[in-house]
Amino acid sequence: MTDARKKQLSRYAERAYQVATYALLTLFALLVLLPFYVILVTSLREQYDTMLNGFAWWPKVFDWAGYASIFKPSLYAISIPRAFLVTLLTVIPTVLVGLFFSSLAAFAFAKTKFRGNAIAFSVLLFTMMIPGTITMVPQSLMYAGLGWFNTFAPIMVPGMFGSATCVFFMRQFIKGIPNDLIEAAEIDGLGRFRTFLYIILPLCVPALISQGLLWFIAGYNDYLTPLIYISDLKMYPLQLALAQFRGQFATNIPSLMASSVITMLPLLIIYLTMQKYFIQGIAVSGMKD
Amino acid sequence: MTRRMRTDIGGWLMILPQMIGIAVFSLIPIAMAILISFSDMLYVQSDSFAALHLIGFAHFGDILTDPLFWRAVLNTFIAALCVPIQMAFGLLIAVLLKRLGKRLKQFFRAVLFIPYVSSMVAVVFMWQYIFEPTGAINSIVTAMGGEAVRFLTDPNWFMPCLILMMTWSGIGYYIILYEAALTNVNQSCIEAAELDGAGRMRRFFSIVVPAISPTTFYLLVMGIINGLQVFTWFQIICANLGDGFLWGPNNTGITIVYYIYQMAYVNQFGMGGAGRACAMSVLLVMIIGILTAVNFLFQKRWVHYD
Repeated sequence: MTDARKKQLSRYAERAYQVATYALLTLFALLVLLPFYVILVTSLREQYDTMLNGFAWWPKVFDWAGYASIFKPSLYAISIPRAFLVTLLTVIPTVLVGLFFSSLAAFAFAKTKFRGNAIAFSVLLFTMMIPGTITMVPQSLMYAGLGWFNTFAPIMVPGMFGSATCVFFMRQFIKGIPNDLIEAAEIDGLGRFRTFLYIILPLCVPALISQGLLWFIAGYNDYLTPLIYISDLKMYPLQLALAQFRGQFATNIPSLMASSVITMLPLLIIYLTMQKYFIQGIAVSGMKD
Repeated sequence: MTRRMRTDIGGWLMILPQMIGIAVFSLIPIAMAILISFSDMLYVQSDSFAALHLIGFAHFGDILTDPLFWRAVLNTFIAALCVPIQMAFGLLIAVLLKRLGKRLKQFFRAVLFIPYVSSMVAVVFMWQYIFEPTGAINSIVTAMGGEAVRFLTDPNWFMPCLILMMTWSGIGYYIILYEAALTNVNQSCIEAAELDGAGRMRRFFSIVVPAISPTTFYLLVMGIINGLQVFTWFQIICANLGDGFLWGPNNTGITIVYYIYQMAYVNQFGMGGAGRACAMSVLLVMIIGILTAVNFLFQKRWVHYD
């Protein structure tokens, strides 16, 4: 085989490879999007049409009743708008306070040579590896003793002390801040805590955003904690309300699908506008030193 | 007070909230769980712990002779298959993404990551509707002249559907970690191998795969820890399936943590209650602990840190 022929062959191979790349990725993307398409289309169909004809790829008539039903007052005391508010009001304060204490601890772990630093940090790493299942029942007993059942405390309080994952991430980030900056602040007479507040925290904003977003998503999507602790329908956060919605609207498929769409929409918008932070936050979680 | 002591106190004050959180919400509960696993506690109530009555190893004997527990173990391990599946597809997609231009790469990455930020409850509704006897998949099946399949109430189809659903939902995480790992692979190594005449496959398996092995190791360790605690998917779906499907069709939907949850919170009296639930969670931690230890022992064989 001549050299020219070889070259041409390898050019064909390269072409085929490129085409296969596009084809496969498009296929995977379609597989990912298809379920979203299904609920979107179904949420816009008429109720009797879905009951009569099963699934259809396109609505006969566009009907917004499914979406309207979400905002109608319900007989069962479950309201998606209120549940949405409950979720926001319980998750956001938890994330903000938790971020503060996590980064405070991370600063100490990264930049302070106190005795016990290494030991305390390995305890932290150890708890990250412990399967959460084992703490489920004892935590419930503690919360029962504290009278926390059917309050928001089990959803909010534990996270406010900080999260080990977040400390780990913030420590990596703060390690990268030059020591000179901290020393300069101390020469200027700032104490350890005020150095953290005025110098470190402002530098950490990108990292805080990416950790805060991931944390917010986890809180927004949390289903298990409220399932165990919240029994009052009026206090249901979004995920629980959505799950309950199914019992109420079992035969109203468009309404069910519309409520799913509405529930996912806020996170989708946040994700699509702040994608960069998500990707960073996640990519770093896999890099351990 | 010396400078040294002030640094110590300052450091500990800063990590104090975090450490209190860990002690109160992790370490103390772990000790309590071990104690409770030897007790006959039935209900989770405010006075249950004060009235603790120890009964020795009884729960452990009962669990190990309970066929439903072994069924749950089997199901859990089958469900955990989605970890290697996600690793394989995650790596494949990450490799493909690397070949794209900046804009297209961003587009595909954004799309493939969407399920990861979607709420589990909504995702379950979505997939359940797709798997319905009159749902999306069956509309294709019947259009091609086949007979509609009752995917979620058929014991043969239940688990494959769940694995598909979980893989779909989690794949974005694997893609992003592998993408990050691939960008750190030493390009000159690959070029040198190419000059030496190594083919595309050879370069991939002999250079790229070993180079990203720390990420694979991390994904495997965390995948086993989280994968063997799989539960919420099964709880939501089985609850939606309704009466007669507490454990899914023909017990294919019972996982270890789902069993623990039912024991401790829902069906306490009938299943052995909080005491046995804790005993089962201790056993689960032991299973996960052993597998994680094995993972760390064998990592020298195949994980390359440079």
